[in-house]
Amino acid sequence: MKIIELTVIADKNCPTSRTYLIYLASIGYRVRKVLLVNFLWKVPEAFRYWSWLGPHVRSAITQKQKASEPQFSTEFKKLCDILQDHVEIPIDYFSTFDYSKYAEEVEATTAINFLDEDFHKKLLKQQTKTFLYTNGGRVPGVLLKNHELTFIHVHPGVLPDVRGSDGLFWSILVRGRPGASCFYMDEGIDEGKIIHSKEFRVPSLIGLCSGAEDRYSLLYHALLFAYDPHLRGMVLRDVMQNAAIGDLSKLRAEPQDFSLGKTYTSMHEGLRNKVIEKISSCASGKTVD
Amino acid sequence: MSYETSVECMLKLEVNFAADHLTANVFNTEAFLANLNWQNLDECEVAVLSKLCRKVEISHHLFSRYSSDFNKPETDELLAIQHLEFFCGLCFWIAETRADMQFLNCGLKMLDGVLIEQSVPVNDCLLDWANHLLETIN
Repeated sequence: MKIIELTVIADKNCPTSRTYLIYLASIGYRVRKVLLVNFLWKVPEAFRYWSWLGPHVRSAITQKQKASEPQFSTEFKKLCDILQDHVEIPIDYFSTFDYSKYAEEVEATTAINFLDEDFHKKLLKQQTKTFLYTNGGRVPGVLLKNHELTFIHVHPGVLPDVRGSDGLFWSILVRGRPGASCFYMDEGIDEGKIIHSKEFRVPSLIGLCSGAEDRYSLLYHALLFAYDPHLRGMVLRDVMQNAAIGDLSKLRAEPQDFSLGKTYTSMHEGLRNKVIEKISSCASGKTVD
Repeated sequence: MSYETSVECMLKLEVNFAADHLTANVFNTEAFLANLNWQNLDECEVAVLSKLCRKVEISHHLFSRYSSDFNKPETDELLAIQHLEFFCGLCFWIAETRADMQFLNCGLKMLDGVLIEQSVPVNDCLLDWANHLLETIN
């Protein structure tokens, strides 16, 4: 397998990380490194005076913490499997994943989120400083402004039209189809230079939307968990296929036209349910365009 | 729900004309809303309303005055209930007349109680309007 000079910041509990790696492997690529992060999301509760502790103490405490393991119902797992009936490479999202098959090196670490200064130090120490973002909250300006570091992200929406949260659902609502865009992250929300964008056919949800309120919520989460990562994986694969093994921090990228599009916030449940109903009556089948 | 019913709903929610909304450094939310010619909104006004939507959705508060660049509130005083109700109606109005789903999203969240320490009173006209807008999405 060919090596891509990329460090994947893989959230241990996020399905997107493994999807990226599997899609890259499908074209014969593995990445230089996976930084497998156990994101805690908040300061450990027992430490009220967190900021008073020295960096070494903080780091030692953080590394000993464990994020709670996500629990998935049987119904959710079944739904995720059904959603993957039509994807190009179905992925097992619920078993332990062997990252070492997809990367030259795997390093496990723990961080609160991207605001964690000890985590910043860890990123600065990496040999390959072109990172693929997968999850972990907003990346602070101090990292994005650092010219030594490059962050690549695949956003679930066609940029510049659909920026912000719930991109998959806003794309279907306002553009009639889902999409994904690979871009270089900058300080704005999804405002960086665009490397590649692609739109897809709507997924088939026929028979999955029974009308019960909790079913909508389950479908919403299942779409984000087991469908959306495939669109991103395919876009990333396109990018890497076109880039060959060049310098990933210097890919051809176009600045966004800010007069176009909107930065959306999280979608209200009522609207989300309408999107689910809308795609429940579409019979497009394959997700690949 | 017909266009006339939407107009009727907005007329019920209208608030009285107030003094100028923008002084040297302060944006007066209540005066801005009160002075709006909502049946004939221009792009600048819609852009300001969009910024207010972001305040609702991100900070979960709507204050009666902001700095002119909208970066910070200039007071602790929250937007009065009748203005809040009118703003919610405006969101639906823009969603209906401009097919702007972002405003529908904001209006729905306001009705659902996204604001902390403030709430849009239960108003049948707004609830019917929200349901109508959701039903007409295709």
